[in-house]
Amino acid sequence: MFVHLHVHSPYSFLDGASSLSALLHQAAEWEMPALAITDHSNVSAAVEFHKLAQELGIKPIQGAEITTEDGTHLTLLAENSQGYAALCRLITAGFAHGSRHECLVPWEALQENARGLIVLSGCHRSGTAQAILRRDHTRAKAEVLRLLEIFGPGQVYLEMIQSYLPFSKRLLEGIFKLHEELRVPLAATNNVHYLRKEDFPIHDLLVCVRTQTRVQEIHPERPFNGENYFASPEEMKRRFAAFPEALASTLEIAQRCSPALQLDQNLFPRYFPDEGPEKANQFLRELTWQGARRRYPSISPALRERIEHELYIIARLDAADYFLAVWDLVQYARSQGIRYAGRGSAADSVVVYCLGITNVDAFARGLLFERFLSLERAQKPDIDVDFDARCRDQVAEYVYQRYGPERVASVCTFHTYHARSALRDLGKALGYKQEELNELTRNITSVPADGIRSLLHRLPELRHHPLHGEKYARLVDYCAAINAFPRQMGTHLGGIVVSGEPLTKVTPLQPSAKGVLITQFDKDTIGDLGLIKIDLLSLRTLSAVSHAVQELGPRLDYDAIPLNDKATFARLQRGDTVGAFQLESPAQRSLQSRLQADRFEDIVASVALIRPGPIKGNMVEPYIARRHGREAITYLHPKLEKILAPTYGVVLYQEQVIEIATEIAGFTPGEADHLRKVMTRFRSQAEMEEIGREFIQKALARGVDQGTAEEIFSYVVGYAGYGFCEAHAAAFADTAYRTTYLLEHYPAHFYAALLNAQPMGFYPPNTLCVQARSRGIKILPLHINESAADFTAQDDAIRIGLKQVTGMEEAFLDSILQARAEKRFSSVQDFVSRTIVSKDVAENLILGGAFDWFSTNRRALIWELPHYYLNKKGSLFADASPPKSRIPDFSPFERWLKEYSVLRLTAEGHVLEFYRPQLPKTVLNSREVAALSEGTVQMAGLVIRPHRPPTRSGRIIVFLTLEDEYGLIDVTVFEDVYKKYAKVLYGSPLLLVTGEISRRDGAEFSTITASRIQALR
Amino acid sequence: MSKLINQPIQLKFKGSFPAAFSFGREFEVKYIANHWREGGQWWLDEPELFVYEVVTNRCRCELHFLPGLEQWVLYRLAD
Repeated sequence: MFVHLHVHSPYSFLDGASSLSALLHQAAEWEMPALAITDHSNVSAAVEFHKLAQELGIKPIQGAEITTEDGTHLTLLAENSQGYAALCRLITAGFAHGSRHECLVPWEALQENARGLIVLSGCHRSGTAQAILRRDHTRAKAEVLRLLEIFGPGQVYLEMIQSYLPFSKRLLEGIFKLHEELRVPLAATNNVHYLRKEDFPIHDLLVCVRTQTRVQEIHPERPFNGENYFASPEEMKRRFAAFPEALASTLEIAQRCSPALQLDQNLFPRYFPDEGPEKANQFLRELTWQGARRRYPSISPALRERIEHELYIIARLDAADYFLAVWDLVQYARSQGIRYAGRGSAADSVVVYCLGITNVDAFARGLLFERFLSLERAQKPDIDVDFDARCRDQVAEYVYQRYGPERVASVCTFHTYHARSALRDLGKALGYKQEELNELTRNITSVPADGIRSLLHRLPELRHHPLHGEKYARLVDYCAAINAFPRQMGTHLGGIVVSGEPLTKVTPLQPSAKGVLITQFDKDTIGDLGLIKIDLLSLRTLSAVSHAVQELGPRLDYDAIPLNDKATFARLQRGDTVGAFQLESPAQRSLQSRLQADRFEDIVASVALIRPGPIKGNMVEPYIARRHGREAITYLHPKLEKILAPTYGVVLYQEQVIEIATEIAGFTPGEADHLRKVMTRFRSQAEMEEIGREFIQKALARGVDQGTAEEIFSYVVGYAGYGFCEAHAAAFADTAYRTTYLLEHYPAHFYAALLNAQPMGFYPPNTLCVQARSRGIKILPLHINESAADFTAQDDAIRIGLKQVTGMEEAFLDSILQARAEKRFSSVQDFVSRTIVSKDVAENLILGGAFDWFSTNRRALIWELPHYYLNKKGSLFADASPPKSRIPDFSPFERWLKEYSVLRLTAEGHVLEFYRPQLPKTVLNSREVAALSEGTVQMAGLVIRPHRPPTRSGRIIVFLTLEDEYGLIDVTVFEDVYKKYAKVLYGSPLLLVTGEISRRDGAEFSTITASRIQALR
Repeated sequence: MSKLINQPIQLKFKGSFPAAFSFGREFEVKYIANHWREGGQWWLDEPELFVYEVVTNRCRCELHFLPGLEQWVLYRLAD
């Protein structure tokens, strides 16, 4: 028998070509008692490996292949949890010594962290092997002696790999000689990089991606042959027939090692470090009741019971410290005037509401606390808080200072292969040119890398796609083979972990591109290690809100905005919500208008309705019909009435699914939450069917008849996809309503704030300007003496800010503002002489209209510009006076286009104005179309955000917005029309659309259902 | 000095080990000095290659075996 002790998984990042699951299942098939994973400088696979191995009855041995400071390799295996912690510290030390891209472990760190580790001398890149290959036996011996000194006798094994390389024979002989001389035991490995021999091309391709080479090119790190596969014990026996002891050692090592990971411990820091959990529980209780008295006019017995229930569960789960930590950081944000809003399932908690973390009254809404936390699931709490994007890092910095840098880190993410990235990377490695790769990835949407073929057959615009060709068949297969493999590590947008003990006890830390240290585990696995993630998210909407609030000063108390403002609801009913948080997409605007939203609950429902789950589950139409009393509200079972009455009998929220499972089938909270997870993730049809059988069986046992039970479950299944949590919807709805209020009452300030917070939202800046203009707000041009750094609002105007100019760096901006504070600029020459702005950016300023007050001939100014720069340098070729330029200005269209290219918006005019004179009179503008309620129309416009959301039938529907000089009109393209015009639709920026006016349910919102689409040239 | 030959040969075996071949004259294999495998240009459908460096009664030779074609090639002769 034999155990593989040197195995690379895909977490070796472009050096492992088979999944953990494939490797472990093969090991199980061969009845291997244990397996080690030894990725390069990381243990990212550890949790997934540990869990799956335990499931399959295989002992997981955690390890890593490290690179020492002198560039040589060593294979380290954790004998136990002490060894695992040593491994984490060593990798952290390696990144600290090396760089973000290179983990180089100092020998000194090895000396300090050797306990609990077994070391294999390493592959052909080890110090020992390199010395043998140089025929330097003395050095080879010294290398082994150094390992013996650091790790101690009995902890060191001489690694033998028979990969049939030109130097293998010499290497094996050299290692055997050391074994005989030093009596250090041998251990056979196959330095596994892929499962089967036939997977070698995939590994070679990944190495090409990593080394940025093409298959035709030579690189020393490319594999020489396909021998590093997961060889069977028989094959290993053949390869090591001369060294049977090397095979036997692998079993001995496996027996010595024990599973090193301790899952489900609680490493969260105590709020009161020297006290037991009781003190934190007590303090949380005090804060909660203080908050309750502030939030509620009176405490009813039901409310008291609810709060006590939550506090009891929090205490039982030993989670009070976590709640206090989040409370502490929002207190900090509040003290600094940083706007924040709690979101997610945490809003299901009254305690969280009382602590001022969320703004959703979970008690008044009857929200289910068990969706957030339950004793049965005993999962870790997860509170997400959005912060003003500009200040999120300041809040994170506070956390680092509060708990100490060695106990706080950002959570990593893994960028994994999808169709487009796989095609690009592997195609490039195979030698395809950039243009060819552009063609190959054209119109390939965001699908898994193993879904390319099915996409090619599904989408009409891909009917003649080059990937159908035989030439690319292998490329498509290779892409499928690397589906979901991690390509590189990144930083989670908001997730940070805080630990009561140094984090390196459970995870190595490495620097991210942003400079912060990140864990080697992502959000899905970090909790298993005992760490709790706090999501400190950036929300640009909150930046926009803060900006507007700051500009408006005492004119607005944002937190006191009335939640029943008639004008705000009237705006919602018109679907005129471009710029409103969560409510601005065409689907949302149409829904608002059809729903005739007139209360806050409508907004909560809207946020949840326009999601793939409810859309696929056909919940939108019944919801609207029942909301307006056009359809009777019926319940399949009397018990459903209580649960579904607030949403007119429609299953809309995850909390309702949990309640249905509990009430109808008697699921425990844990079982019900499992059902919710299966549904919302919907990764496996078999899993869904299994839970369906369980649901029906249990419902029958509780007296529900078979037909009703099946139908109720079919509702639940219909919801599968991306269900939304009511608490989250309510948290979002709060911001959605308030931003709509700002749009209604302070449009200039809020549009200016939105423009300053870009990139954000559904629409590009120019569309926001078009919308602002349609409301009578003047967009004032860029002006070198009048524009501030940001967009600035007056009551009926917005001035474009200097930051909007392409290439405008902070230093340039400072120099402009400083010079201008001393004296206004009198000319372009004066501007050039008194600032450090580069010529390119000065040119962009001219093209953006910043000097129009000086001369409207932008082309002439650009012509003169080099002269001013030569003068500034004191060049011999410079002349005191500028060249006399009599060149004509740009044509109006060129002028518009150039302004757009440097500002991504224009102060005046719209591209359609240049086309309008050539268009027949039958082509209407958006204002004319909006006034119609029926009939066939033709409209031309700029295409904004064409998108193809999931539909219940699975048929394709494309939604897009046409923008012209007067505003926006949404267009719906059904599958038959889409099939005919897909290429034009996605290939042309300006379209002429013919179609029928549609006003569903008498909405105040006209859209066009397209019947013909032409490119406007 | 070495000389590139790259010509197919008929190899005789003793058990599973190369024993002798003819190439103008008779070459008797004394021992295998080294053996390795090369992946080949798989993207051009080139097969994997087994290489044997053998010491014969006359000189050191590099023999290639193409498993896909079951073909032995005398690739190189060396002093």
